[in-house]
Order: sequence, then structure tokens, then C-alpha cells
Amino acid sequence: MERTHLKAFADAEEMEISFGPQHPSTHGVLRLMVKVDGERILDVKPIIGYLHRGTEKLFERETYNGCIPHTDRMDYTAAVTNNQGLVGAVERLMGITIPPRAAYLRMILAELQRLASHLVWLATHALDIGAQTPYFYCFEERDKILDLFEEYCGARLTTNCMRVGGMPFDLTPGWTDRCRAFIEQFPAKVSDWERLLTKNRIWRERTVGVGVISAADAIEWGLTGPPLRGSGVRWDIRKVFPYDRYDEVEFDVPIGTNGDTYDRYLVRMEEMRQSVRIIRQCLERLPDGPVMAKVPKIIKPPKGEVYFSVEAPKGELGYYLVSEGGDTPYRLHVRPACFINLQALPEMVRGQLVADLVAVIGTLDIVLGEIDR
Amino acid sequence: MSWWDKILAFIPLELVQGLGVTGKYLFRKKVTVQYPEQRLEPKDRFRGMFGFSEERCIVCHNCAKACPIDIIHITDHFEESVVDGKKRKKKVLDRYDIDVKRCMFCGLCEEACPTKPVAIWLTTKTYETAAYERNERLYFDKVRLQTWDGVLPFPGVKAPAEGGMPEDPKAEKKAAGGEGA
Repeated sequence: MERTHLKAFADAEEMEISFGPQHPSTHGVLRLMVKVDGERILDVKPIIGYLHRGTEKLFERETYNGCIPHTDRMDYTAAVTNNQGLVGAVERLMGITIPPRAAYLRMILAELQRLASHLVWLATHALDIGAQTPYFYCFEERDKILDLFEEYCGARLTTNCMRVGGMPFDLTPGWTDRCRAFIEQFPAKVSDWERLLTKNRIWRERTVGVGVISAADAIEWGLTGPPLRGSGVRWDIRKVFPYDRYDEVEFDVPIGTNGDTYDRYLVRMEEMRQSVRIIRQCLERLPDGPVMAKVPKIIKPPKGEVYFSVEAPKGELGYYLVSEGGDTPYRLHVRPACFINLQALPEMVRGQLVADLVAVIGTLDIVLGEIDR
Repeated sequence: MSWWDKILAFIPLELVQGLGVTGKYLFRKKVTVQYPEQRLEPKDRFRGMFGFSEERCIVCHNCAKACPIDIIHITDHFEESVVDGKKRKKKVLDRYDIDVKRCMFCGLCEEACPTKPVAIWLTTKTYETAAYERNERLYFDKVRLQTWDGVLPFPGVKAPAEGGMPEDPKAEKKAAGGEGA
């Protein structure tokens, strides 16, 4: 779009303002240099690195199981899927098949984590746009999920709940009943939030037609997860490259049509319902048996390299692992979903109002821990 | 858009619908916990502050090796003793320090511990570790690890003071099987 079109007034001057890193709507420590013409955004340049902890370098000095707690801290709203990606990569390189019970446990925990992550997204996204009520309702539900995590693995946020070769421990007695009780009451809660937001005219004013990205653009930018599916591309790692036992459960991949903030909202709400569907099937089929495959005490994958990705709540989370045959990775590169989704931000907000910038940051569902690593 | 739709567009029906939801939630039981006065009991597997048992520890250094951030510092020496007329070498702990202020409570040390029940555990259900002076208050040596306020024995294990003996077959076997060989 030509910049001259955007000039609201002939005498208006371009101005560059710094947005963040302490701004509450940037979901962390994201800093944006925003070039504005009055209320219109001409350009945005994200400046990242405020949360850089050198995780990828840290991986190189850890044993493979010692890497897992570090992955918890990348996308700290979805620690389980981070663990899942890492152990999946090591298992693929070593050629380990995990026991069926472990695979189903992983799926249950990962889908619960998807719910928890989407709840954080819905809560903060709605709060940014001005709807404060869903925040409290969402965090109440999320707390129930975290209680389930705490009971299973002992931590609520940084779960560290998977090991190479399976799961470290079995479920506590009664866990499945509590999980089933939770997912049975959950879809009604989703309907409640939808009743609060979906038809709400303020919500629609703020989201419909905001941050539009076409399917072709979304693919070119490498978007994954709900931002890609909101544009109408049916792409889900769980469907196209099934891992664990995702090929055995039935679920749909919801897609949007317009690629705007509202469609991404609808996609994520439907994803929550599909996650409940997956958990329900997993609980029905949960087989008995061991949760840990036979793995050596010191994990030494053979020399080689592997790329393994999982469908994290934010998009495709990939691990590229290079092993030299030792007990530590030679290189472990992470393909974070948020980092690549954030790249499309300037494309999505160019020409929009400053207030829409907040809505678009919210809809991309970024977590700076994963962007900076 | 028909004239009926135009009239409807002025009536914020969906806002009333939303108010219905909030109204429903208004008369529910409150779920918030007033923290300092009310406390929730952590779950059994909750990973919190450390507990340590020097009697059960066999000084194998597995926990220190498993720790991803190397915050467990162990030094030991061999001590010779004469039991039943035989010379025996046994590893004895000099230091067992945990730099708790840097700990990320991943629980890998507990998993790596070979004794049964484990000699180091995080299931003490204690999560209030705030301190005014982190270098002094949050650096635990082996004495403080065993005696800090609120330290609980590992679930199912009686404290030695109550007559419980640590059942530790591996430690006995190792001590008997010639550590120095």
C-alpha cells in the first residue's frame, strides 16, 4: 500500500514511537518501533532479545534428560508440548518406540496443555481488547488443569513431565476420573465464553477485518498453528505428520475463511472443543502397561541428525537435533512457532490503527520466552 | 437489511446475553483462596523445598551429575573402620550443599537417587522459600537440609527418632561389597 494513501492530513508528520518492552499489552518484553502517521500505523519493527537466555547453547552442555527442564522455560504457558517435541526428536533418532500407555498419556497431557495455553490466550487477548470478564473465568478453568498437572508430575507450570523413552511415572489413582470430570464440564464453559464474546458488537468491531493475512501470504511467511488455519489452510502437524498416537483418534482441524483476528478467535475456540474430544477418546482407550520403554541409563543417540516437530498450541514447534554420538547434543536447534509467527506482524498491521496493533499481538499468541529462548 | 433487522441492530441483545452469563457466575460459590489466611494443600507429588537424609545417602554423586544446572556440591572422603575384624572402607560425606536460590525444582536429582527410599526428595510440600538474604538463607548445607523448619520425612518413612530404620539394601550391599575394590 502506498504511504501517501495513509496520510490522514496533509500536514501530518510521521512519528516513530517505541512500544514496549514494559507495555502490558505486548505479552512479555516485546519492543516494537512503530512508525505512525497520526493514528495510522505505517510500519512496525519488532525488537526482540530481552528474554534471551541462551537456551540452545545450554542444551549443548546438558544430558538429554537434563535438557527437558530447560525446554519448560521456552514457551512457559505450554511446557508439556515443549517436552514432547524434545523427547520425540531424541526417540526418533534412537529409534525407540514408546509403550502405548505412555503415548496416550502424552496425548492427554498435551491436549490439556493446549487447553491451558488457549485459555491464557483468550484471557489476555480479551483483556487487551477490553473484555475483562473472560479473564477470570478462563483462569479459573486453567487452574483446574494445572491442578491435574500438579497431581501428575508435581509442578504446575514447568512440568518436566516426560523422559526419553516414555513417562517418568504412572498416573495417580483417581486421576483419570478427575480428568474426565474436568473435560465433561469444560465444553459448557467454552459456550459461556462464546456467549460473552462471539456476537458481542464491541468484540466484533475490534476483531472483524483486523490483522488480515491471506492464505498465500500466511504460507509465504511460514505461519503455523491457528494464524495459518485462520486464513483457511488446513494444516495441522497432528494430521499431516502424526506423532504419538494421533492417527488413532478422531478430530477435526477447524479453519477460518477471512484470515482476520475474529476467524483466528473462532478457530481457537473450536480447537478447544476438539482437544476435549481427543482427551475423551484417549481416556476411553488408555491401555494398561508400562509407561517407560527400555532405554539405557545414559542416553547416547547414534551419530546423525533429525528434525521432529509437534503441533504446539501456538503452531509448529520443531527440534533439529544433531548428535555426534555423545551423551550431550552437538546442536539442538529449536524452530519456535511464536518467533516465526511474529515475523508476519508488520505485514498484518500496516495501515491499521494503533489500537488494532494490540489486538493483532494478542491474536498471534506470542510468548517471548519462546521467541528469545 | 430489512427494517426489522435495522431495529434489532439498535437493541443490544447480545450484550444482555453476556450479562446473563456474568449473572450466572455471580451467584456461584467463590473459588478464590485468600492466600495468607487460607492455604491450599499441595499435592503429594508437589516438588518443593528439599529434604535430605544423610543416613540413607550413599555418596554416589548421581544427584549432582543429574542436576542440569550443577547446584549440588558434594565432597567426600574414605574412612577406614574395623568391623568384625575386617578392614572396611566407607565413603563419608564432608559437604552436601544445595544452592537453592538457583534451583529450578525439576526433580531430576530425586529421580537419579538410587537408594530406596530416596535420600534426597522434593516432596516436602513447602513452597514458601522467600528470604531477605538469598545467599545466606537459600544456601543449604547438609545440616540445614535435614533440620530446617518444616522438613518432613519422605512419605511412608518414620524418622529415626521415632524408631524407624532406613531400609537401604543397596547402601548396605555397597558398604559390605568392598567399596575400595
